[in-house]
Amino acid sequence: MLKQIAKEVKATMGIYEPGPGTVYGMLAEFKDPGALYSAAKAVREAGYKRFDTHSPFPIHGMDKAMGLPNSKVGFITLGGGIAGLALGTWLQWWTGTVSYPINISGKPFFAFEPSIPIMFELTVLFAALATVAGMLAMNGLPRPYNPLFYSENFARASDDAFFIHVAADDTNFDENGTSKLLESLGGRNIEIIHDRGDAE
Amino acid sequence: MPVSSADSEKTLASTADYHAEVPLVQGNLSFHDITELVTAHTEKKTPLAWWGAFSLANIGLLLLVGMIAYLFWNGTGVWGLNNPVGWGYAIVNFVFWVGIGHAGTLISAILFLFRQQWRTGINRAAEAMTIFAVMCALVFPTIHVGRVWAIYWTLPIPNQMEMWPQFKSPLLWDVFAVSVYFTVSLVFWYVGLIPDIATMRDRAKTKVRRMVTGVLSMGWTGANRHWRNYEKAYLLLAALATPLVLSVHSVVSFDFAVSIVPGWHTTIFPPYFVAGAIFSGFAMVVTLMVIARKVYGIQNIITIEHLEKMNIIILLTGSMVGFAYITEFFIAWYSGVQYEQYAFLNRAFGPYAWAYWTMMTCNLVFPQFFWIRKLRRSVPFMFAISIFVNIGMWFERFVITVTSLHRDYLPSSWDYYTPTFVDVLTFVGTFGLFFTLFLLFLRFIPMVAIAEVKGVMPQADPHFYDHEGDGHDHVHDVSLAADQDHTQS
Amino acid sequence: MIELPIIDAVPSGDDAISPRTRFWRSVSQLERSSDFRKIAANEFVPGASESPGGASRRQFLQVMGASMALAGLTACRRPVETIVPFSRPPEHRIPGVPVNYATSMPFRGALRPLLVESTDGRPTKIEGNPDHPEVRGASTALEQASLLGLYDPDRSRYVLRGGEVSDWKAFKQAMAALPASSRVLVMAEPDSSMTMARLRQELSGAYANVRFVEYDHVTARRVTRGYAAAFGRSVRPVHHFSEARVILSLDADFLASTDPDGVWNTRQFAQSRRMEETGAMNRLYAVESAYTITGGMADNRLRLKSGDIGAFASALAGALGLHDTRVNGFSDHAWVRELARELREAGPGAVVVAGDHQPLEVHTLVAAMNRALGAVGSTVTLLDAGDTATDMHVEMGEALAELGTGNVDVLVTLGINPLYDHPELADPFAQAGTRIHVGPYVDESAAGAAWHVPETHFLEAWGDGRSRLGHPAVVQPLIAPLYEDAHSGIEVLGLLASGSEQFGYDLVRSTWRGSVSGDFEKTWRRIVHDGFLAEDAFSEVTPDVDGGAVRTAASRLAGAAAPELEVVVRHDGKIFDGRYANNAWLQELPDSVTKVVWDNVAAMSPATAERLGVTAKLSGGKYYTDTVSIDTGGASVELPVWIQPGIAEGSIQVTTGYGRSIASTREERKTNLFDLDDYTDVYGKGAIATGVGSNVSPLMQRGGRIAAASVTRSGSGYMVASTQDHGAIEEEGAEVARRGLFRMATVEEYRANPDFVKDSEPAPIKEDWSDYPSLWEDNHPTLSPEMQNTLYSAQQWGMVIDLNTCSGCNACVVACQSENNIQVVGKEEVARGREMHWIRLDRYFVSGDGASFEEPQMVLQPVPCMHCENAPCEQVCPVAATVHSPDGTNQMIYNRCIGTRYCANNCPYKVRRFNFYNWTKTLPTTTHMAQNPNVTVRSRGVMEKCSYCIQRIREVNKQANVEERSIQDGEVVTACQQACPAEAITFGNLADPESRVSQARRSNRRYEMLAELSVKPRTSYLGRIRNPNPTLISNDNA
Repeated sequence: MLKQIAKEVKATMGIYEPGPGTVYGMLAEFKDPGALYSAAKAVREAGYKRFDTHSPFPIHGMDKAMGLPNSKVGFITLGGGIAGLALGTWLQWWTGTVSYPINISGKPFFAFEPSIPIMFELTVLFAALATVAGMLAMNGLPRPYNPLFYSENFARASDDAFFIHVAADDTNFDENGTSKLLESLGGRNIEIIHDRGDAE
Repeated sequence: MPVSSADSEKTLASTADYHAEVPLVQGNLSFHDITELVTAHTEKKTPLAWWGAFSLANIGLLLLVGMIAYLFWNGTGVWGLNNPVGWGYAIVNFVFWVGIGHAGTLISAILFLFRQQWRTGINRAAEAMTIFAVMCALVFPTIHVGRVWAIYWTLPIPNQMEMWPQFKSPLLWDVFAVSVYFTVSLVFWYVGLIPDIATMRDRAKTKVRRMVTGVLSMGWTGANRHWRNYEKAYLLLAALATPLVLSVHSVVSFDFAVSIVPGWHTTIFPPYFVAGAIFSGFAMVVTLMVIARKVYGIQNIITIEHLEKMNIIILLTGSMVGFAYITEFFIAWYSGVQYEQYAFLNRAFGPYAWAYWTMMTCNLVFPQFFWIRKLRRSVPFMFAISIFVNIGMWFERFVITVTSLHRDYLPSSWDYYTPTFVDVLTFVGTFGLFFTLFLLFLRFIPMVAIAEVKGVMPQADPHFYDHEGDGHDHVHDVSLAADQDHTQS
Repeated sequence: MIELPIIDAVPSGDDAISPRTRFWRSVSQLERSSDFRKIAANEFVPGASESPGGASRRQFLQVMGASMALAGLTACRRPVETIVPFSRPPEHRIPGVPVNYATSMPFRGALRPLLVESTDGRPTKIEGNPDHPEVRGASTALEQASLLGLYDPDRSRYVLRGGEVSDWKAFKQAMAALPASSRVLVMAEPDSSMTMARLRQELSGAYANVRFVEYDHVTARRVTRGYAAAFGRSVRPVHHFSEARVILSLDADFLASTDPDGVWNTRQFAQSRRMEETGAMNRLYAVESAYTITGGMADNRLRLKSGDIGAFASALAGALGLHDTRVNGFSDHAWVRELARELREAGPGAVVVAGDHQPLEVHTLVAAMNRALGAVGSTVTLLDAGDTATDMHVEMGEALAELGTGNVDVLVTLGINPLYDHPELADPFAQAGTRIHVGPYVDESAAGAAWHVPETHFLEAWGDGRSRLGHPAVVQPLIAPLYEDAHSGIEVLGLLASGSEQFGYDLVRSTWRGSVSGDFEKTWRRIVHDGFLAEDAFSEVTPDVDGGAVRTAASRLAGAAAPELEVVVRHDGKIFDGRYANNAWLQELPDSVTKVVWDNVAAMSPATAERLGVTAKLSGGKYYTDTVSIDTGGASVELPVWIQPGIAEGSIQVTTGYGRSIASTREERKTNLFDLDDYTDVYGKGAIATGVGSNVSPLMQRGGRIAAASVTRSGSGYMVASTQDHGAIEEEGAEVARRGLFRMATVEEYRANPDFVKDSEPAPIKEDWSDYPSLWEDNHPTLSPEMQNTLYSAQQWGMVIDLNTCSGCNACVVACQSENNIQVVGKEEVARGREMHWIRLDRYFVSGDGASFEEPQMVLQPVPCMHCENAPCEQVCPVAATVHSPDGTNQMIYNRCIGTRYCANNCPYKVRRFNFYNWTKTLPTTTHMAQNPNVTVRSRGVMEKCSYCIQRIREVNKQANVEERSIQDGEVVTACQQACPAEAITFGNLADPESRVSQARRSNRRYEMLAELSVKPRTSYLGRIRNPNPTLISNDNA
């Protein structure tokens, strides 16, 4: 059961279990963002869930095409912000009035006005760090090992090539059917990715 | 790939006429061309010119280290400070560098929020500049204290004596503001770098290179599931950095505004400082970009359009700063506080008048030339102006810090501040530090945000292909124009 | 905080001397050869232990104890146990708890009664003797600084024979061997010591021919002889300004520290300025060439060349009917007419004083005028002090003649420096058979002497004498001589007279045995304990005036007209005639008027400077002045110019005491290129005094201090360090008026509007801090239990400074320096604006109503930390290194300070001082001993400032706490307050409505500086009231 949940969560990060044998998934290249876009749409309509597009830059509307929900990073940011604000406030109040009250220029031990800058700074700091941490977590990064890297062709994914990768553990995945579908959508250099599990 | 001709500035002038929106990337570049253009120089053999510049910068760096060692060994007395003037070069330089360190985050954050796509060409370098500038800035508050070895007392570290920092002190706000700003800028910068490092990884030839880039890129694959979170995170960071960038210089200005020194005690300072910071920051970006784009032949990515836009911002913020200068005088007169009145008359006509008028000319007068389109599109001219603006902004901080202190309430304590050679050389040294870092950046890190630039190219839009099928004729005429112009010259 | 390395091991070049043997060297090693002592010369430092590295206070105690023991051991020279503590018997002494002893400081032929604090056997602080009627606990900068003089590292340490290191034993033998047929010439300062007098007798008995010259180069007996001429006998005039209603000062700076009666005069003068208490207020007329602090206090001031003062006095005497010689230019001078009227009206309430540099005829006239006015007996008392009234120059002339003819076998100079005062004496001195120089330094006069004997500091040796009013007193040592060769004048004289060594203690006691009636030991103990004998004093006389003498004096003066360009040589207000030149505290003490340190300058008025074509350029906050060569026929001296308003036209003012050359035993510090220790070591460049300023003695012909001079510009670009006027003096003056920093009114204005200080509040005071209770009052921490429930909250300390009585004499500055271990930074650093004084005297020239800038009014304002209720310095410190104490003082925590200097920037009074360098790192070992062990010595990079003498406050807190009682008003006395002769400083508990300070705060003259900033300073001021004569308000310079 837990394993199942972990699997699901990982899937949202684009981390998939290898299918039968060592087959990890199928990779197909498309000629331009437009093609990739329509292909992604078609793959989804074909009922695939565990697939992903790879492009050197974010492509407009691709989320809708792939049917992905909105990102949840924002909530983590909010959490971080609140934590920072709380810490900033508490730190100044506690040190000033509880731990060691000192008469400074005849000013109150604690007042909000002079405390605002540091409250603000800590809020931003924690929010920012939380955002990045959250983003990486949700993306399952850092991920030093990724079977896709076995594909020579895939190296161009960060340059000018556009790929669709269908994961092997997608329920609809079968080598022939999927490759046919991708081919029909204009996919080129279709290849099977094997999760050999060992670095070459 | 087409030559990125040095004359393409002129090209744009002409093409701009019959193009509603001038493309951000010129010269009919494909995605791959962009990758090549930007990453190539990080892979090829280090050019001699770079070594030359680098060793020059290193001399500056050594100078800085030497001066700091001399300072630590002997004490703050080696500076020109005296009794009324407790803050001199150190604080002036601090504010100066922090100010410069504003443009980067501003360009990447605020312009991002405003969907100013032209930012993509310059934001990477600008952010780098920000981080390096803030590092230079951080040097000064650290070394300017009398007992450096105790400076960690400014941090809330629990200790057996239950002594805490004094949170009412603007100086402490500074400690937090600047360090937070530095951290967030750094994170923001790195997040922006991840996809490009992935690009470098995928092009890496050597093992070392693959290892390093591999670790830094964290296994980025450009998966859309990742882009989705990534873009959201980037947006949020931008949203956070925006108030932050505005707050930093406001807090720095509190150091002065919260005190009771005539000439410091002014409510106008926060906006005035922020405007000044952006002003100087953009000037510095122009200075650096004008050189970099030339040296690395990327005029098609950092186009004259970018530079002109920045010049317009310089013109705007410059006028804001100038307005602030005049407002200060008005307030001083209108407030009826004789100390304020004296302080400002003393600025303009006292012993430091020379500094004041240098500031006025550089900051108020020179940028006004940018009203003229021809001038704001002339590279040599804007280069000169950007230098003047930086000089002027340094003097602004000098005028605020020193002239206010050297004659305050009790005439018996009036004195004059003269920097020593240590003051001057330390400042020079920070440029060594700055350029050392910046040269390393130019050498090893893509100086343009590859993914972002690609993302704003027309071909990047999936719907671009709906009608033309392929959009090449769309950009065709640009290349034609380019060629025509090429022949003209 | 740093632990004082009281003793650092001096790298020993000679291993033969093991620490142990070195420590107990006295007996055995005294026999050693002089070569050994030559090696030793640079090695032994007083109280030396050879602990490697810095020594702890414990070690220091051992050492001091040992040196006391040593004192006893070296042939039992001083029975230490008979030194009687002032407050407690010795057996109750607790280490670290200071004990006070009464003693006196010899100065200008009289004793200044002192109370000296001794911590663990070393003197650490000097105050005036509170029981003594003349000083009542007050003192001047000179007494305060004499402490440092004791620990002066440049003091001579060894007997020198022909310049070679010798020892006392050899000297003793040499003296014993003197044949009775010797012809002896002794030169010594005027000295009130009875023992000295007794020994003079013995001496003349001991040798065939003994001549004793009382060497008074300071006044050349002008005053005494002037009075003697008038009265036909020697009298000592002492003034009672408290009785005076009208005071005329003829070029006299009677409020100065260097005046024989400085403290006495200042306090008395202050008494008759307090019009709230007395209802009346004296009126001070000053006719002077320089701007003195007395001139600053004057209600009406007339600039007049010193050379014209005589004629002026003569004219005035004429107007008072003492003679009928007409004096051109002055007989119908507005001032003369008005003064004559005023003085006559005042009668016995009038008093005339003349400066001791004025010729004796002036003093004759002054004496006569005082007598004629009936002042004698009321405002002036003539004491039968037995001061020598014969012509010193005649005696000197004879003595020198003898010398010239080689008729002197032995020439002894006791504690004087004749070859500095009179370089021309070098030749006759060379004729002497054996010249013996007894002095604290190897100085100008030591050069070429057959013998040099180091003279003890007055805190090291027994002596006696009389105060100005004639109270007999004993000079009690507090510490064994730091250098065992050092001996006092009387000891040398005793040796000379008897041929065998006699110890000061015995000498003094045997003198007193003769004079004291009844049980000697009992009286002796009392004298030593109290420091003086109250019941005995000089008798007062009222002789009649010899009219003839007066008329001759008058006519002689009537003819005298000042030269077109005159030079006036005055005693320096700090280092006097040079005897204190090697005192770093005094060298760095800003002159009250010029604010110049570490130099003597030729001060002149702007107009005169213009006429001479000389300038003082202000560049980068430093003064680069032209130098002038001043020529008085024959002798010429080169000095930097100082341009200063208020000085008479054509009058050049110079001061004595500079340009000393003192041999130093310390070699110059050598450091690496990157190390600035050689720069920061004020003591590192040879003796302190050497090379500072130049000697003006050549300008004095036959001791005359006013001379015609020809002045020519000789150079330029000489840097003069001053602690003020880094901006234009005029602008400063104007701003002070606008900002209401110094508030004053005339008596009439005050009577008409007692609240004048309120009216001179600068706008915008309309906004009072009480208008914003939410901002200033609501949850104010002082009301919180944390601040209320402490040991200290019962007292709320505060200070009030009365500008009406403060004369600006500088006593407070040095007192503070001595109490709070304030370091000296040297000329260069002062010029860079880094002086360290915690209390400073702001001097402004206010050219008010119509008066030209040449004729400004001078005001002096002491500025310590204000201890603001809402201190702006506190809120800006990032580490809470400066905070508010429960008893309301603004405290500086040195340990916590990281040195951002933000507090100093934000201090509107600029009283904070920053340690730009590590000033204590390079302090000579001996100087460490002058430091107050109860005050932290600040390290580099730390901010410091006035603490209201918190160490004194806490001491009393402890006492009261132990004795379970509340603190009485006046129990806590700050160093500045204690020293102040004018009693201008009131300090105490503001929470107690009856305390003196609370009463002072209720005065309607009270105001706070910069009150409009709402910082609520705890230190406030009482506005000054002036009593000018309206008819002379415009000081027209006839």
